[in-house]
Amino acid sequence: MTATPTAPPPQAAAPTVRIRDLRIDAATGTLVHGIDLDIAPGERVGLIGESGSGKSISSYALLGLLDEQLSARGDVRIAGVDGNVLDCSDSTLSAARGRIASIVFQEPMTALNPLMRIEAQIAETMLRHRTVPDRRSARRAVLELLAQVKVPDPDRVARAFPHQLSGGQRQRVVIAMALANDPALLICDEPTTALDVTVQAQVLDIISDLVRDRDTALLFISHDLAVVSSVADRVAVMRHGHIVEHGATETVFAAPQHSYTKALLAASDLNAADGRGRLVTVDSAPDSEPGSAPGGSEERPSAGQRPVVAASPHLVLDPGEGGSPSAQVFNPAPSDTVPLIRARGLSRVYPGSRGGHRGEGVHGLRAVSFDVVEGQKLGIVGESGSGKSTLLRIVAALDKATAGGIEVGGTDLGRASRAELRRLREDVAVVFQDPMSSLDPRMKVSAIVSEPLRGVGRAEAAERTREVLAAVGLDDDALTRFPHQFSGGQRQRISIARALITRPRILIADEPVSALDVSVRAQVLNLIADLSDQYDLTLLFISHDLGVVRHVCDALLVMSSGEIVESRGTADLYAAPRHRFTADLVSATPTLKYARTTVVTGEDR
Amino acid sequence: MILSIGRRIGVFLLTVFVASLIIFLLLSVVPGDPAQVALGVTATPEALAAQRAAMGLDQSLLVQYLDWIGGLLAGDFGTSPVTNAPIGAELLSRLGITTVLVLCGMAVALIIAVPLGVVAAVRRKRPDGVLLSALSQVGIAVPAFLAGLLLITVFAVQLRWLPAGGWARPDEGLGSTLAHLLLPVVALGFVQAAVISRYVRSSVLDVMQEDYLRTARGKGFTAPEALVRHGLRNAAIPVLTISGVQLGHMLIGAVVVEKVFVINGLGSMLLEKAANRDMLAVQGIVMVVVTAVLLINLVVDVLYTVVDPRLREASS
Repeated sequence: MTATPTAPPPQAAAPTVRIRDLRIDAATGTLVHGIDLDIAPGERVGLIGESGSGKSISSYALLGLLDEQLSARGDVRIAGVDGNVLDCSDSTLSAARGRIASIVFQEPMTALNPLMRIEAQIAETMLRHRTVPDRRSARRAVLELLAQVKVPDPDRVARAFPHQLSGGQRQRVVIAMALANDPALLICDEPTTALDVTVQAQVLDIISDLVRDRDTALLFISHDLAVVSSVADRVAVMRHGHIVEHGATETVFAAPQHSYTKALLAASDLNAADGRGRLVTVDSAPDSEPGSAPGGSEERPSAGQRPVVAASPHLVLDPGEGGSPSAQVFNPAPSDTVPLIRARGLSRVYPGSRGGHRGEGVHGLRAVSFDVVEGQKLGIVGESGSGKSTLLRIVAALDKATAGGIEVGGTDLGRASRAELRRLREDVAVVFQDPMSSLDPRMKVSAIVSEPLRGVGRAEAAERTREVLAAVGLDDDALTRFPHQFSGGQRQRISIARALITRPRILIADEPVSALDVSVRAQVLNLIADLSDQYDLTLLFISHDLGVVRHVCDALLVMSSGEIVESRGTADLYAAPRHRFTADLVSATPTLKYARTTVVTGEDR
Repeated sequence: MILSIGRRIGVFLLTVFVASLIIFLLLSVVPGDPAQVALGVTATPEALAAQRAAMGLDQSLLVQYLDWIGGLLAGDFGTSPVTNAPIGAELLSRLGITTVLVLCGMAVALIIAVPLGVVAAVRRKRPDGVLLSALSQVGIAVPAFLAGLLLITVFAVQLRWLPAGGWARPDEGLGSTLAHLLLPVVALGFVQAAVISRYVRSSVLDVMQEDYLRTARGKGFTAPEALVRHGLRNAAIPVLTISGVQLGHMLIGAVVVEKVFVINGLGSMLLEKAANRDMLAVQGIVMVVVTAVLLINLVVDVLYTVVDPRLREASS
């Protein structure tokens, strides 16, 4: 429909899916404005777009899974389904769903019925379509499927309930369910967005392999260009309900034609920065010639542009020392300075029993020692369960260590009085992950932002609220509005404003951009970097995504199973990770294939 | 799982014990001398003192409590100072009547409420769904005694199909028992059905938004099939909670319906004894009701762990 060049699908086979002029309407207006797309058997097509672009609802329309409030028009044919899919009844389509075409949804934590065993949930897909004769053969097939999606110990997983499995394992189960009947078409809607980086890499491999083995047509939906580039042969870029660009992955990524695609590519590339060392955002991205895309040099902007405050040599596991890792102080302050945060042998054991070991407890942190110097921007990286959030809670005095000690700004958190802790909390501010749920929906922005202030007059509070809102780039008219009237990125700005109003010395950011779109992510990262300089903040930036931390931080702590395994300057750590776990993290971080602007990190997989 | 049930039973027993202490203390500070109540206002001081000694009222509170609780454990609720009849026998027969009434009423309520609530949820945007929802609102507003009076007027007075009131024990003929039971049970059940169907509706609406229902549809189930296979059991959990709460309320709340249908149940016994200042009987009745409510909670808790595998580990 637009003037973009459309890569013709291979003509050899009839397409598995043929979409013509698909339109989706809501009561408030049209969400998808007529898209065309073909997918041939065995072809892997990526559908890229930000939230609200219409990519997910377009895929739901293919299977008749649209919400009741939405209606679809146009012509959609799926090989094996008679007639236009959009005209089929729910019962006709349900005969095709799960057999001819399957879907894997984004959120593995909620996609499974919590009351049913895994085996029953997978088996019913086959029993429903009678692709297995009886329960016993269904059970055999379930175990085989679980082995194919590489879950450890398929027997145990088959008998488990969903809550007994990790997010990655649940997503594998969902994939096994989707592939149980060898469908001709598999739709994956952001299948790895909720997963850790290393798990994401494994799940992507599984999807790619299984689809290739079965010659399944794949429609892979994601906002993450790097992920799409690792899976898809062909990509379509959606914006505001239009496909704005469409072609072979290599062509689109290496030589994007549409300005939006260029901007999206630039914003996704956390190695790229403009002349002032800032990440490229969708607004600031140049849309002239692709060759001018920034950051093509070998230089690492995060190291080059801003002064590295803690210029001390960061220690690595010293092979000569030979002691246990817990005896080592990571990221130590130079001997002539007093660290702002000083933790020694910090442990946190959660009481309770797990798996029959009564009274042993769960180790959140195991004897961790580290320093943070004033003004340092320290990234803390690890997967879920690595102890990084436990560490955050202890530093912010929201939780207490069960052993070891920590000093923040000279105050011993283990012995501090209530009054001292209250003063400390004004010095330590936290920005949380989810901007949707961390703001009280019934409070006005002015009240939310000024809430942490104590003992400050009304006039001064109002003045300071306006000041921090301006600092995060929001106007005065934001003051009287409620959180739901803002987008995700704006809400995260409000959270940052709230954190800054007490003029803290330490800002803790807990995955502050992992819930945000690519384009917004770059803006918020820039903002955090700018404000850290402007407000002389010491920054602790927690993330599972090395690419994100890399731009903002001078030095990194890498955590695994409650221990710090490595700490060094950001650039060094990337160039040559020493610990096996760090190397895994670096290589699992998806990189933009084909894109010319990318400095490839780690091994290209 | 067995361990967790064992612990719940322990908590239950402990709570019953604490409840007995509170009930005993509360009723011992209520004004009114049981000896005076037994002998009347004309009794001489000597007679009163003798009566007190006979009733054990001159003992310390601790001894009185131990007497009472020891009797309860042996099934002896004591002898009423007012009627001189043993309390236990009457209590037991009244409790039996009310239990039958309440359990049948709850069964009727659930039989009506579950399908009604599900349909109201599934068809919430169609006229019939809205109508069902509105009807259940009206149902909540109708008091049980009014429903009872209407039923009597139509089925007993006008149509003469069923007796207007009274009770028949099963040994007097099962048909007669059922005939006497039908109207009060329906009166009780209808009102409860209205309340519970609201909870069923909102619970089903919540479950319909769950991702796993979408997954089920993705597997090839139609929307109704997905709801039946994956939704209803999940939706049952909050309904279980409210049903337990309502059941506890009904034990005494049934007194209104008992009055309308002239049935001698537990609630009417409590009213009579309280009016006669027969505190020992009141004490016994309250103790029985509290124990029954705690028992209902225990059963609901155990049912949770049966329905929801997540609770099996969380509680062990």
